[in-house]
Amino acid sequence: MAHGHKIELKQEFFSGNKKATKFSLILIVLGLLLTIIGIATAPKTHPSNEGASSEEHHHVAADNNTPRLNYYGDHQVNHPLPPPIPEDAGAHKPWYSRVYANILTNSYFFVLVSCLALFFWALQYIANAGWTTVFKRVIESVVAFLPIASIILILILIIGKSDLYHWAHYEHEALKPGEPGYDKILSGKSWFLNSSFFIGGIIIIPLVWFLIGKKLSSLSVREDAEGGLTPFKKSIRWSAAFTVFFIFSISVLSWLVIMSVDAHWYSTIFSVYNFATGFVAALCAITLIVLYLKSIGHLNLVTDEHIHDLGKFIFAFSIFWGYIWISQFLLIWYAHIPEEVYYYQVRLMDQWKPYFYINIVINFVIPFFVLMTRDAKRNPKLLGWIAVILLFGHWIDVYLMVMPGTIGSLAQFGMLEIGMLLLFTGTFIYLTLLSLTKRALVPINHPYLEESAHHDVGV
Amino acid sequence: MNDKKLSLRNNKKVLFGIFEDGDSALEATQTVFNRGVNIIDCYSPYPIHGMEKAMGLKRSRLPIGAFVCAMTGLSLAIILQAGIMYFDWPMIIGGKPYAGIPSWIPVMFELSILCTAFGIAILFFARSGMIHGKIANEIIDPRQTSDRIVLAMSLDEAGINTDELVKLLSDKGAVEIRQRVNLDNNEFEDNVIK
Repeated sequence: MAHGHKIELKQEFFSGNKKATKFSLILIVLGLLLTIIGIATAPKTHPSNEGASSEEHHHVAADNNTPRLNYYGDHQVNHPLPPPIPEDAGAHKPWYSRVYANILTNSYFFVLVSCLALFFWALQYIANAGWTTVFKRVIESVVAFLPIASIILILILIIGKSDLYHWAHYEHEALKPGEPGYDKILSGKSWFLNSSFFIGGIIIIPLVWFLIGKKLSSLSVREDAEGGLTPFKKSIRWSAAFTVFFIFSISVLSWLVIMSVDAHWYSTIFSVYNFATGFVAALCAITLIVLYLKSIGHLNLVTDEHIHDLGKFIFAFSIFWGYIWISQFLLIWYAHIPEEVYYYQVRLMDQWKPYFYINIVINFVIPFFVLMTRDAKRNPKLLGWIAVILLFGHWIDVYLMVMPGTIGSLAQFGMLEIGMLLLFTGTFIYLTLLSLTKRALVPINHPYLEESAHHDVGV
Repeated sequence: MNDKKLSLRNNKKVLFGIFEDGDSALEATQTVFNRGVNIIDCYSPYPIHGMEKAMGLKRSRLPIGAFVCAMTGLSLAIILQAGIMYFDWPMIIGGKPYAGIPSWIPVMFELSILCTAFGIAILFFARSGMIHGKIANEIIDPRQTSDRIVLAMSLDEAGINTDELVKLLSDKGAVEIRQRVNLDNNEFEDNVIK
């Protein structure tokens, strides 16, 4: 019975856990090892040059001037022929672009996780929600990974831009209409898809997120030290400003970083899709850390009620993800406009087909049916496993968004991919737990702590 | 919970405790429930946080009904679309196969929701006996819809003495206590105790 009796609001400290630190370090070392082995054993010659059989699939000729398969229907008659969309993005890419694409996948995934944790945090302020207060530090600790993930993302995009994006090559050609190789679509997008906009965007957007996140956490530190309502009220204002900026900027970031991978293609719902992917992943990360801290005897104020509501959030946003997924897929599949349907055509063929189906099954079907009952959401073990599976599923989602367009046939799911994922996960766990040790676990001066401790979802 | 407990009619002797605020009503409910008194219902103008637990209400089985309704809607949508688009009159739309499953999803989704919404609304009203035209005899105090909370307890199998129960309720802040005796000819007698 939560209501009606007094709950003692005791301060707690997390001084690190040897087992968890060991686990994360093992992940890092193992990840590093696998990455190095993966890089060393990666085929250095291009797969399409090895056997003649795979050539038949690829309509891309080395020469830009030869007429090729026309994807644009009767555009050919009225307009200068645009170059075909390369079916294999990796046809002429060096072998190390696979490494770049992997770093891009992982860093973007963890940027999504941490920036959407920041969004979740800001959401609590602007919605005047109290129930998350007892595990507020966990949200803050996930946000603490944002600068590291962003720096890796920015570096890999600057270094690997020309190896990852085909618009980056086109940019330098400065072709006029009528010239061979002129691309109407890329020319039209060039005001947006150009190096200065790209580099500017990927630096400024995470920087602003980081600065607002820093402001929010300094207000949180002030609240711990001084108490009173001033930091809380200021946090509400900063959160409101952040949310407005965030929803625009995450769209721009997802267009710049991920949608421009398939530069001829666009989808208006793409940024919402990325938001959904990131939000579920962020909620899963938060839930896992809460469950972990609870299992080693911390966060005593967190009860089944909080776990239940986190489960509801994961359940609801998995459905939201599925809804957005089908919204994007259905329209493109039904309309069957060549330059749109290309995106799914590639992903429904050859090596990408299994990922395509794994993506839907893991991210929608499993959470929908498993987390449907109340008992499942209140079962820490089950919820924890679902969170792990979902984190992997949304990583696969990002992997599927990045790989076919960047490196195409060069991509393999081998030691490099597993190693890189383990490396990033290990670093994430290590740094998140480290940031949890730096401050007290209970935000003792937060005005909604009492309310949060008494949180009750009813029968 | 069984029907006997749900209805005021089916209990011979009923005791009402009328309260002015939710907190004292909740506290009284908890105490009375812990003493083993059968609580028939609690009539309140607004939801009282934690009251379900205090009254010892079991979880509603409505979600199971909702799931069954949703699956019914889903199957209906599949049968409907497969019947029309695949078996009865195969049509090619937009060059898609006859069984273009992705294009069926919106209808599957909508029919599931429609059946669930109507289904659980009907189930809810049927299960709680709220049938249109039925005269409610649950108005104990006219103010129970504005600012009073009425707690109804059965005295038939109460493991507690009535006097003791009355004292307990007034200790917990009941402003009025009434006893009702249900007579055979569908009528009743109310006696104000306090």
